[in-house]
Amino acid sequence: MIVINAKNISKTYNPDKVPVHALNHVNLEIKKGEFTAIVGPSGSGKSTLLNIIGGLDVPTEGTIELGGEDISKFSDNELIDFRLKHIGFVFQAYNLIPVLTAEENVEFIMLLQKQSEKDRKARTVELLTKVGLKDQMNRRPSELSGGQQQRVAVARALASKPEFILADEPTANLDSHSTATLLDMMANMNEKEGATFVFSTHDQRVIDKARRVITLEDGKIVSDEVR
Amino acid sequence: MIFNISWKNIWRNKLRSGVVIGAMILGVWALLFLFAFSDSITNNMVGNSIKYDYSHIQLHNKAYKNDPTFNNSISGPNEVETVLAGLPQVASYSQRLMVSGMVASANSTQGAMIYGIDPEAEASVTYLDDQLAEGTYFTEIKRNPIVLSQHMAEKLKVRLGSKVVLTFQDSHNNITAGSFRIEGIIKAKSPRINEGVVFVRKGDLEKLTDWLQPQEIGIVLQDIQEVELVKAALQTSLPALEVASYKDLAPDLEVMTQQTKISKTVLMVIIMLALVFGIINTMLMAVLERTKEIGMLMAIGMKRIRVFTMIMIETILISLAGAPLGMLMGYLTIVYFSSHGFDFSAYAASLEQYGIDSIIYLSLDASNYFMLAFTVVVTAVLGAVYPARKATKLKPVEALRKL
Repeated sequence: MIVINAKNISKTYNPDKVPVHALNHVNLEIKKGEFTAIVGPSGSGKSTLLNIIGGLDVPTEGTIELGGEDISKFSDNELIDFRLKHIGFVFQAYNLIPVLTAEENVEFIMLLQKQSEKDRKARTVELLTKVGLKDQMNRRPSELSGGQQQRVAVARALASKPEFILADEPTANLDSHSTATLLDMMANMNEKEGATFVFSTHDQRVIDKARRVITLEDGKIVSDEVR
Repeated sequence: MIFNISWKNIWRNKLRSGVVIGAMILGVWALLFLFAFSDSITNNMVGNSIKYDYSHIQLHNKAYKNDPTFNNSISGPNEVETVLAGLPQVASYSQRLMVSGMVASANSTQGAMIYGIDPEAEASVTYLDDQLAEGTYFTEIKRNPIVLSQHMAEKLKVRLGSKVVLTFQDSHNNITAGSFRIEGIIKAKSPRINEGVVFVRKGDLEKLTDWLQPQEIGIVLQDIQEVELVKAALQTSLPALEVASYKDLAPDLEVMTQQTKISKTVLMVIIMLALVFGIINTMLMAVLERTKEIGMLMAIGMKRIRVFTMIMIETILISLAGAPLGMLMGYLTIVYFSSHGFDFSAYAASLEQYGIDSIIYLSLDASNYFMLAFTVVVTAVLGAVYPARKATKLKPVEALRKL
């Protein structure tokens, strides 16, 4: 079942001054449960495509459907609501809330969804146990290593049981061991939670782990390899 | 959780937050202190004028104000006293026979209002005996004693026991004079009395003027708050007389009180404006520093209204954190100076001219604390709006790109 459907997506920055064409008529379909890596050199449009898929940015041209809904027509508030309910994000720089503990960071998104305290606590413990940080749940981000912070970020992304996990260069700041641990963990969760994972990366270790690799160059898809 | 995050965010940069909290403590403390100081000086001056001069209410013949002659005296003073005795709010009253004249000593002559009084009744109304600096209060000299102010004594170059001659028109329009001996010199707390009023016994003045009816009755109430109530009651009971409260008699006192209120408001607005800009500056820095984090919050699904609320709460908390401490410090300062007082003895002579005591004991009505607390909340909200709006204007995708 196709859950991400990008049709003829183009994105031009500074259209009135010095136009930069980040994406050129990109068409892309991703099925439910896929573990996909979008790769390409810097400036190829990976992050832009991921941002558009995640509803963080709007295309200059074309439409993007997630779970059958055309999010390119959504208002700002509708997009925020959609992201909250359906998308989990993992960022390159972890982007945890520094004043909250690991537990509170994971719980935060469920709080925004107004889940009951009982459900929040149970899900938080479950996820932090899965990412191997149950013993570190009362620590703040500054008290965790980069790898541990990114694992908390993954747990946070999965907390609301989203249909889509979008990860922008999730391993860029991690060492080999942390990268391997994180990838194994995400692959495992992809299987167990059933969420559709899309990465933007140029990390070969991530590419090796992906079951589908889409390559972008100059804002265009130049290859689409399903393994 | 939003409250929790807001509270924790305050303490991210302890020094910066500390500066805002410290400014608020200092601002609130300074305002309370200045409020108490200006209120206490004004109240002292107004209070002294009421207590030692105008009393709460005065009764006159309706024509006396425009034509202050014997013919415009209070007719039937005994009936008036019966009315006053029937009012439970009235604490004391004093009849005054008044005549304008000259006071002459061997060295000098001064114009003065000569008040013929019942010493005991007058003491219960204007506390003349309490103001005695030298001598006695109508107890020692049997024949024609006079009490006058230090200022008048200096101008006349007289002292206790000196003889002065009072010259004035009697009720038959004849120039008459009487010799009086100084029994007491008062340190008058009313500038008007200090400048030009002398006191003799009513009986002595009655003989010299050949007139018995008083021109004025000064009244002191149990509670100053009941002035308007008693004034209305007296006006009904004594329609032939003019009933004037101290506000009618000395409108400048009311002007002074209003002026103090306006000054306090202006001062408060200035200090609060300075604090608003300080708060805005600090919170704007905090928002700009956290651009990426705020972008992330919106990216993962935090609505703009929640981001707005978070920054508002954060700003209000940082603003209000210092206010209670500032209030406590202000209160303690006022309590201390309410018993110890501010000693302005070095400026006593200047202050006396305005009827202000040389030692000022601070006091502040509770309503000032409530007004200030309300203003601090308004200040905090005003200071919060701009940074909070700034935060909500961020676009997640752009904010996330910030370093």
